[in-house]
Amino acid sequence: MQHAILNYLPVNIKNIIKKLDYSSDQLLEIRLRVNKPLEVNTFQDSIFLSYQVKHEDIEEAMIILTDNSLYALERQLREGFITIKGGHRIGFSGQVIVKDGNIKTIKNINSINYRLTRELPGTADRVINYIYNYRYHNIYNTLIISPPICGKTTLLRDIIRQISNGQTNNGIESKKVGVVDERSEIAGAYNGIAQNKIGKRTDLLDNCPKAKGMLLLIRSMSPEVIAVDEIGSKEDVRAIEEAVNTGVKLIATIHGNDLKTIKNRPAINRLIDKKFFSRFIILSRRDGIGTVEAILNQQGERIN
Amino acid sequence: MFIKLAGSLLIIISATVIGWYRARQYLLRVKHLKELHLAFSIFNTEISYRQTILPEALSKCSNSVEEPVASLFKNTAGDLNLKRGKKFEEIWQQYLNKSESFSGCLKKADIKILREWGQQIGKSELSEQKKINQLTLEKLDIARKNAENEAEKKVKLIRYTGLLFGLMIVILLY
Repeated sequence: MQHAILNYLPVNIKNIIKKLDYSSDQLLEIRLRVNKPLEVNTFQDSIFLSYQVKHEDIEEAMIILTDNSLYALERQLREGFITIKGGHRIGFSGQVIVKDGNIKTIKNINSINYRLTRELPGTADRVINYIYNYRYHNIYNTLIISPPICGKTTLLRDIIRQISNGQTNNGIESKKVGVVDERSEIAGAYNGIAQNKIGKRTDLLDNCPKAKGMLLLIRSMSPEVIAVDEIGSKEDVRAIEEAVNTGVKLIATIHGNDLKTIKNRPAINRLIDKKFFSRFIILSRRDGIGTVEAILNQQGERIN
Repeated sequence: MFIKLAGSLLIIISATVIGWYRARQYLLRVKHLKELHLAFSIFNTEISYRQTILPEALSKCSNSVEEPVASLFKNTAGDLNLKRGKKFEEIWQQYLNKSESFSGCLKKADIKILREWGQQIGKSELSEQKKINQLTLEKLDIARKNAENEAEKKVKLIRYTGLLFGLMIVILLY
């Protein structure tokens, strides 16, 4: 198997993964846990290899991932993952150091999870017609609701790309899109430059807290559409309310199973009650990652 | 007679050269310590304000200082990029041991400052790293002042000693 991620694996594990008979786009995760067998997850199944991961492997992996420069990755260490070139995400867990109730850093890493991003251009084809308002030629405020690993970020990324590029034959106008990528997931930015295809008219604010970033983008980059991942906190909602009053359209994602579970979260519920979102896209894994369960309108009625 | 004269001259010249050479070590120590101080202050700025990763920060430093400090930084940076997964500390120690142009002029205590810096760098959060850099800079500053004092006292003395030693041998031989 050949994959850019191999360069980020400790040498022992790299040699094992290299020999595996998978094509690189089948691979989903490579998991290292101290004193546990090496785990590889693909789209089809998860397999355990006979290799026992050693403490030294994890240590070596962390040195590779941090480039011997913990000081440059304080924020990432606090959040528990690092984004590498190519937009892949490497998560880790270990002993958490807490200060004043906040996570300060994670030390003595015991597990590392290499999550491979897949860019799937065309994922948004199924939904783009529902979220584009052909009459006024703008985007509906859209909320993508999805449990983890159901492809919500992949979908959001492709929506951003399609809106940003526009589709002349489909009557979709190209829009200026501002992306606030708090965790470098959407654009997979490395050194601030997007590694994933996010469209020609997209301005990226990498690593920036969502609430602050949305308002900053409106002031500085005059976007027509703003896209953010995983909203939920009170600050997010307040920033969204403020942003929408400036006439900017919003596309956001949130963790959840359906509209009902989302409504249990007070901050978000306030937005829904105010009829802020005109479209809801609900994802699941029923027919594989990225299954579109339903697309709902403002009233919560199914329209697909 | 002529051969005797030429031989004496040769002795005096070589003794003088040895004296100059020995004296130069003291001057070089001052120079190296100055360059190191410069390199570490550039490094500190790089990581404080730009949070540059270690290999990049080191190679930036190497561009702004003179040899042999430049090589030390450049080689370490090169190895960090090449042998990914290897600890910075190990690579740094290895090049410290290797660079003889240092060990000749720098004192053990000077090398120790560099060694200690290498043991701590890259391993903690930024505020800690800044403290380590500051401390290293202070230590280098003190070392440089000592080196300057020493050089002031000894350089002339050693140069003359070389010459006089040569003369003495010649006189004894006659």
